[in-house]
Amino acid sequence: MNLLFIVLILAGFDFGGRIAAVYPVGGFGRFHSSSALVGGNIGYSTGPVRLESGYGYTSLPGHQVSPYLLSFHQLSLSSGYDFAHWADWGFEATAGLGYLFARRDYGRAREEGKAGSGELGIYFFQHTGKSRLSVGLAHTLVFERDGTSGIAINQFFQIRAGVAYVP
Amino acid sequence: MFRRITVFLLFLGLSCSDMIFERSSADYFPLVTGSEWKYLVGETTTYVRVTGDSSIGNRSCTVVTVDFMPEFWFKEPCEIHKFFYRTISRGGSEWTLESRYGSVYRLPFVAANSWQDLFQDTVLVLGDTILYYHRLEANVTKIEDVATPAGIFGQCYRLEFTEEIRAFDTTTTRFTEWLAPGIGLVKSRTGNEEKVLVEYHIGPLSE
Repeated sequence: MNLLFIVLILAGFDFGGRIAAVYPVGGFGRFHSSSALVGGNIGYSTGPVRLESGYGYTSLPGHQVSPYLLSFHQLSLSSGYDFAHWADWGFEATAGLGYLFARRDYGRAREEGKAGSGELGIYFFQHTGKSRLSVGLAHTLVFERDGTSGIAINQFFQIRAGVAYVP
Repeated sequence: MFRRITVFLLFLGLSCSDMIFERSSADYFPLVTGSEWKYLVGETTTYVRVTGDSSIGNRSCTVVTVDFMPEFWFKEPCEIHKFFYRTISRGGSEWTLESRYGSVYRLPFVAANSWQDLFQDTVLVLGDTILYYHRLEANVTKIEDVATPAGIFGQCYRLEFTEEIRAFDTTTTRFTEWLAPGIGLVKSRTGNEEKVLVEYHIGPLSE
């Protein structure tokens, strides 16, 4: 009975991890080199729609031999739509919002802050048995606002791969 | 439910940001040809212009004129250098004490960061050996908003400098600079003298 209850609760969910290569672009790329991101996610699928809550961590080093590092934790909530699929694979477009907790280090100097983000992505996925694989591109826009500067937008791209367990 | 969470996250993102990413990406010292800054120092007006590229000290650099007096700068991803040139007159001749690029700013700025640029040399002048010493020390002390006649600038870094030059005697100068993202120097203070930005444009004026 308990087992049936757990199966019913978990139906439609998947749990997994993700890795990504992060490429800062525009002004954001002025002081930051590309780096890797690691994280995890929980997804819930119902028909062609998939909701996903994710977490990622990355640290972007400075250029050359500077002891500078920008690291951030990213929490996100996104919605995906499976717009084309054949048998057990297909393509999904996603849109979501997130929140970033960032830290900048330069030697012993440190600044901490937070910012909101929006994300658009397009992924290829394969769903076989109890596994769900996905590979794709994500474009993250970080938006910030203060009293004098208006809304500032910075952006980075991710080439992302994920694997999830589907109970 | 999803829409409510979206609205909440959007609100949270815009209301609780610290501009940390903007400070990470902004150019606090734009050396774009055609840029011009007009400052007020007491009753006096000072003009700073980026006039173009040149080559000095065996490398290409950007020429910045301060009231028509040229300064030579070059930027690297992690540092901004200025060409320091000092001479003394002895026995009817000019003797060079310093002719080199020194690091003035270490990028990107992070509050509480500090650095120093040190140069020392011995120069033989008319049989006398002069020990020349030049130290420029900088501390990034604060992030603050700065009000000037040209406007209010947010996310400015306040940098406190100490410059010590020893040749025949020792000269120590302390000055403070406020640099705004995308604008550059908006205010500086040396002793009781304050320099504030009155007008500016970055890049060439469009016709």
